[in-house]
Amino acid sequence: MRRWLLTAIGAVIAGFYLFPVYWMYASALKVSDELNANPPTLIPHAPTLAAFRWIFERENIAQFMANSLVLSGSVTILTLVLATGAAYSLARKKSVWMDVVLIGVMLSQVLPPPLLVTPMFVIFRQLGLINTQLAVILATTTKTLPFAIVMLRTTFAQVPVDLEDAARVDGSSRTMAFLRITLPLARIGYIVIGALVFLLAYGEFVYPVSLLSKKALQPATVGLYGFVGADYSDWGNAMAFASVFVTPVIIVFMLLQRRIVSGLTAGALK
Amino acid sequence: MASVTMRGVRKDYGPLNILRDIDLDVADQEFITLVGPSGCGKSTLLRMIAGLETISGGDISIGSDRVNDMPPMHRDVAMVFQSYALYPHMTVAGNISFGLRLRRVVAEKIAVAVASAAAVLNLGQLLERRPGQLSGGQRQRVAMGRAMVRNPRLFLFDEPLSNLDAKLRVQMRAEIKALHRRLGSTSIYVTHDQVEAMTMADRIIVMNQGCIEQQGTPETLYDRPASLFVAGFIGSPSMNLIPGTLQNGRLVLADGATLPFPASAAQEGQAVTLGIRPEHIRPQPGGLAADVVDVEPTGVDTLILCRFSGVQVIASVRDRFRALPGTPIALAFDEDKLHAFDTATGKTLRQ
Ligand SMILES: Nc1ncnc2c1ncn2[C@@H]1O[C@H](COP(=O)(O)OP(=O)(O)OP(=O)(O)O)[C@@H](O)[C@H]1O
Ligand SMILES: [Mg+2]
Repeated sequence: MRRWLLTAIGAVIAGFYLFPVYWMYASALKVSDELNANPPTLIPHAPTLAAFRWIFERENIAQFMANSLVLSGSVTILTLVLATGAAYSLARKKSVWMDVVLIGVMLSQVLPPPLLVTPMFVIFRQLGLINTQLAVILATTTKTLPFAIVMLRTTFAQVPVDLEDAARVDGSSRTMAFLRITLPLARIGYIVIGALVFLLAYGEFVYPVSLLSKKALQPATVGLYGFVGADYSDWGNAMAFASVFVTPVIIVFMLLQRRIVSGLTAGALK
Repeated sequence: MASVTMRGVRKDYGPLNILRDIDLDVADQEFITLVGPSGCGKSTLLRMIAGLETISGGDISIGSDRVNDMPPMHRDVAMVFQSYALYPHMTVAGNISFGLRLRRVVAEKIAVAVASAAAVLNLGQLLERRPGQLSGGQRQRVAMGRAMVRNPRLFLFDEPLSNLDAKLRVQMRAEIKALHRRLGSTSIYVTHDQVEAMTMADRIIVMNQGCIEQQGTPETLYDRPASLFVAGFIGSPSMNLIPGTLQNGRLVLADGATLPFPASAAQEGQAVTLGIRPEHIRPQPGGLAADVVDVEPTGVDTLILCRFSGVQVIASVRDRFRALPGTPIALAFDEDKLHAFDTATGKTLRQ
């Protein structure tokens, strides 16, 4: 009985959170008359892909999405590469200074992008990087890197040092022991952290909107913003744009969930 | 195969001194066991030989190479860890062949080496499993196989059997001994278990608080312990130690009772400790008066715990013996089996 009640409460809360998402997909499929109907309809009476056709043909959403994927993908790779060295030494070296560094890394996450974007703008202008995707990649990486370092450090700390020692006695250098033993065992951590970094970068708005003024370079977050501002009455198209933008996120997140579960069972091997 | 030489080796962690004045010679093909209480630095010493810990002072040589600054990969030693440290993402065969693959040995030779190690260790059925799917004893054998296939010049074992149950431990002990006899590889074996230390070793090194307390054959350590520490550490049940003062060539206990004391370098009036093994005490009419505290039959022997002039002594006898606690008993000591120690320094007073 209690379980039943808890399940019901859980379902209500989930519904509460998921309803806007449903509303977005439903609205994207409605014809514009139905959008403004009173009372609103829960299920589209005559579903149509007109809004989707419109955003692909007139708003060039494909370009925005491609920019988003390039930016987030680059940020993810750059973040993981840079975080690896830092996280590994933080996990393996025991010293007061390492704790100081770790606290510094965590503190650097406190500063919000709107605060940092002005100095970044100045720096990138002096470097001549304004209106390049490189500027956005670097700026976004400053935001994702501390997070990735802290998370990867935990992953490395879970790989027993004995395994690396055994590999070194077996005949590998430190680097080889890291590549052949530690890295494969941290695989699940890389997938989960990489996916989270990707999502963070994908949703980033402040840096691209400030550093990119050329429409051809902007990611979907900025595109969506400009689009919504341009024509407030065109809800169906806005919803279609949002649907296209958010669907990859939902897919990545579902894959991530599966990986977390399989990560738990892989840990049982130790 | 190779010998190992250590000269004045020390280890510091910052201001903390863990090992000092370690002088050790391990002959080619010798089997050495390293025993000592927890935290005395056994693992640290082993890891220094393997190259996993830096050396704060002194020299370590393996064969004719001074290895102080040589990374582990070039030392050609194999180590079996207490945690086994098997690679969880590789199969048993992958674990065993890892060292050979790193050395780019050709595939056919690797297959032969893995197959023969698997045959010796009875792992044939398990080669495609992962470590997570093995029992403790099987994992232990895989760890042994991984060390064996490389045919290294030196084997290091850090308490390899301590996670196994008693029966398996006895079995693996015999297997490791047989392996050593067959391969003749120089081995250094760390253990907590003094039965293991006694039964496996050509020579035992007893360590205490970062120093080598005594080294010698198992018999030497048992029959002629150099200090109170070794006397108490080697042997189970441990040696009876009875403190008192020396007067007129006899040991005078706190309550005035006296015991014979062996000829020694002790001075009249010096605080000394008498040592005697349980098997050298027996009940005998006309002996020294004591009270039975408890009787513990072990199957082979019977242990008689007695209260004797304020100290507890244990006698171990072959014959069956029964007595209720509190029963008076008379004890006789084998006088030629007595050990004499200086209470203040803990060193033997043997002449
Ligand atoms: N990284 C380290 N930093 C500081 N002290 C250390 C470090 N590693 C080990 N020690 C200390 O060195 C001493 C010896 O440790 P070691 O592991 O060699 O003991 P051991 O004889 O193997 O003990 P056990 O039988 O419990 O395994 C211990 O007192 C331990 O606290
Ligand atoms: Mg140890």
